[in-house]
Amino acid sequence: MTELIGYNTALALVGALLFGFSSGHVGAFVYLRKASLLSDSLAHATLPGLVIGFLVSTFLGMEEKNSLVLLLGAGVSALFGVVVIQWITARTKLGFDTAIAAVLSVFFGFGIVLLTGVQSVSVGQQAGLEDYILGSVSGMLLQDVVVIGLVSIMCSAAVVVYRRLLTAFIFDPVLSEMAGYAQHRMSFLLSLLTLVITIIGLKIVGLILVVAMLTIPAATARLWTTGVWSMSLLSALFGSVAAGIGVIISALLPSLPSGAVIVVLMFIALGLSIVVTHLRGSNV
Amino acid sequence: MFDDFFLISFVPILTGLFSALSCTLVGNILVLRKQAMLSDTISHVVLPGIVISFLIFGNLGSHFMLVGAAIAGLTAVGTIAVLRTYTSMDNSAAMATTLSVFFAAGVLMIELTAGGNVHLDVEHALYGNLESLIWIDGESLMSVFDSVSRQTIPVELTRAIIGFVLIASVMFVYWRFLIVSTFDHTFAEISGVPVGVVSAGVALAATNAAVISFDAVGSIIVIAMFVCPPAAARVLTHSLRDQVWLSLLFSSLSAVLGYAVAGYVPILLGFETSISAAGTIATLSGVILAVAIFYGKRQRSYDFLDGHQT
Amino acid sequence: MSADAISATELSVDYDGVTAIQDVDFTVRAEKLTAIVGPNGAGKSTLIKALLGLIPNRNGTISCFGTSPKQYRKNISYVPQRAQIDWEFPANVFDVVAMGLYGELGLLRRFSSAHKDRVQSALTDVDMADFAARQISQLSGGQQQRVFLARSIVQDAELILLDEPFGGIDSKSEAVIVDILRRQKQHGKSIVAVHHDLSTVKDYFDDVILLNKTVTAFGPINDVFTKSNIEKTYGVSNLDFLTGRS
Repeated sequence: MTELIGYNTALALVGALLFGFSSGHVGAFVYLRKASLLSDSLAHATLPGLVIGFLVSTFLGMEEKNSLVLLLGAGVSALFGVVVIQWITARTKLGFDTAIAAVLSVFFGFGIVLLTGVQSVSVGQQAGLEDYILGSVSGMLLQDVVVIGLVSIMCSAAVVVYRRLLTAFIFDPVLSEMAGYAQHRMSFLLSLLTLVITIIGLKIVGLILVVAMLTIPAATARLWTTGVWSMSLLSALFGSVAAGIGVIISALLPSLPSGAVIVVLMFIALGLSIVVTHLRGSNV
Repeated sequence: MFDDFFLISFVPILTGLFSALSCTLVGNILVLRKQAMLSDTISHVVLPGIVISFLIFGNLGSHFMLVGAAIAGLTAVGTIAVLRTYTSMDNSAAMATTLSVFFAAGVLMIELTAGGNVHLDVEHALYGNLESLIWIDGESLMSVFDSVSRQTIPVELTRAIIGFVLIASVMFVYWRFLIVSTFDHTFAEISGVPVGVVSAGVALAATNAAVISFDAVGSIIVIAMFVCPPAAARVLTHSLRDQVWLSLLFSSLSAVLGYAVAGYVPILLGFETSISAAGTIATLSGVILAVAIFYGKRQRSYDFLDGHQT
Repeated sequence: MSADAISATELSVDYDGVTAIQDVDFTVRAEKLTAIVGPNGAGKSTLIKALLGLIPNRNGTISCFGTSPKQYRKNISYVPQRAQIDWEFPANVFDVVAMGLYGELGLLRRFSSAHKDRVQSALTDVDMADFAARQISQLSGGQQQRVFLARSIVQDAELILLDEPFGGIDSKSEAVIVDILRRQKQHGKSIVAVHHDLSTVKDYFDDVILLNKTVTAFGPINDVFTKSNIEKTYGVSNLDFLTGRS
């Protein structure tokens, strides 16, 4: 395999397959909870943290583009975005939609300020930072893949363990509360999974398009099946296949950002599924 | 430092200002309709329309860009409708899907055709290019009144002004329809207000504002101009009229101060180059919103069933 | 005046693909206060929407003073359920009542001092003149309802349709609102309201339509609002505690 596509692409492929699987897996629940646009807002809110993480790792004299520090920064930044969204909706009459739109755009804008600031003082090679906006697998290192792979497996494991509780919570929050599982804990779990998936997806699909990973495979799977569990597995499968093929295409045509390729592939699969399921439906 | 103000800063400031004002005007309606994320969707989906017009006409100055973007906007609205009809998607999932696939398609078009075309790249699409709007013949205020110098004013400014005037006058004429259909949809419908046309008009106005702002601030920061000034104004006042005027004030402040801060503060601090004007504008609008929420009086929430304060 | 304000024949209406109203016939007398009464899910709100011409009927006809609801719309005013309104909307009491004139004003006609006087006088009618500048979220439930009644007065429509006008308000406001509705009736208006409190139907209304997907009975309260008809509508047998006696 590595002889065919090269060591670097093989690494990226492994990361993409694992990430695609767990993002589809988690995405099924995010989709059923109707929280797609929240994840979009979180993804954009990672940018300031990414740049600050980059600065920190540079000043600490770490290896450049130390992805763990960058991802940690992204996580803190997005978490702060969640806090701000809650602050706005709790304190004012502004709607949830306004709060997430404000956080999305202002955090991203501030991130761009930091990014251009880093460029003008040129403290190091910041070229890698832009890869996180639209996704690029060309510079993927072994440590990146290990982090992405391990975290993906953990997310999927969490979904397996909590699948019944999550299903009950999404379908009937009051019932789930009565059964002894506090709504805020379930809500927190799902937000946390969304946040973690968003962050490990930055490298592969980029912060602008990561929302598609949590939405499109789930919607496609929903067309084919009615059960929550089978839907989440199918969604994971779609996510994994699309991410894998996308990474290979992006490796063959390096100018194409992997995120954009993956999104277009997933959308084609969604379109075909709509047509096929409807043809099948009308024949039955 | 201010010698070449008319050469370098005059056009960007005005372009930024009129773009921001257009977005804010439409944003007032979006925020009241609880459709703030429609600005997110529209600002992303216009990208392929802009790219296609660019590929056909070869520059961003073409007015066909507006047509291309409007077509992309309408196609996106159609896509959302199709997704909602044929899948189990709710509005937010349909918008998330549509915006990401349109944006991805735009990015791929840019990358696949890159090389020959110099002025369009993904970074430009993401955070605008306000600083590039240089007025070659801009020497002083008198240049504005000189018909020869005026010809070299970048078309982006002209377009921003025309777009603003268009949006402002349409909103002025249809103000009653806008308000009544936003406040009480059923009542509007039986009063003979064409509510469907009004909704489509709002989407079209948002598309228009997004496109004329595209050069100035790019496709994501433009969302801040739609949402933050109206939200800040809404926190501070209960009067719609005050809300609109305050939002326009905040919007102007963010646009003008944002450009100034981005252009001059790094230089004053001794750095060689400047930071992104568009990013600074968005950040400033966010700061204004945060200050408004901090200092605006904490809003009481009422339990509408018994009318008592909770 | 003996004409009917509304008459429906063999009316069936679907809502969200489900039959909400099945094959009903009824008439509403002009210049009377009529209640639409029935259990939850009986199709009361759907019927109101059909009377407004907002949803098409699958079958049958509705006529308002001899024409279709859509053609008659100019002469109908509608008071929505309070839960449907965003009370944080940046508008004060005067603004909301003035919206009642928007249909008449169109887009560009100036809002003159005569219009202003009409708004003020409608506010006086509902005893809310002192609150004209008050933001609508800072009103009690009963006051909010009165503002919408003022909007309907200013429209000067012949037919007033109200969806649960007494939903969740205190009994004092309820009495004030009943009083306003009675005065409107004396001015020749025909009024139809969805009502959910069986114990007050007799006190407030002249006529009643008992609805549960189909119309069990309709007509003057004293003839129709009987224990057996109510039981037939609600499908239970012990309602004495609700109706007092009957």
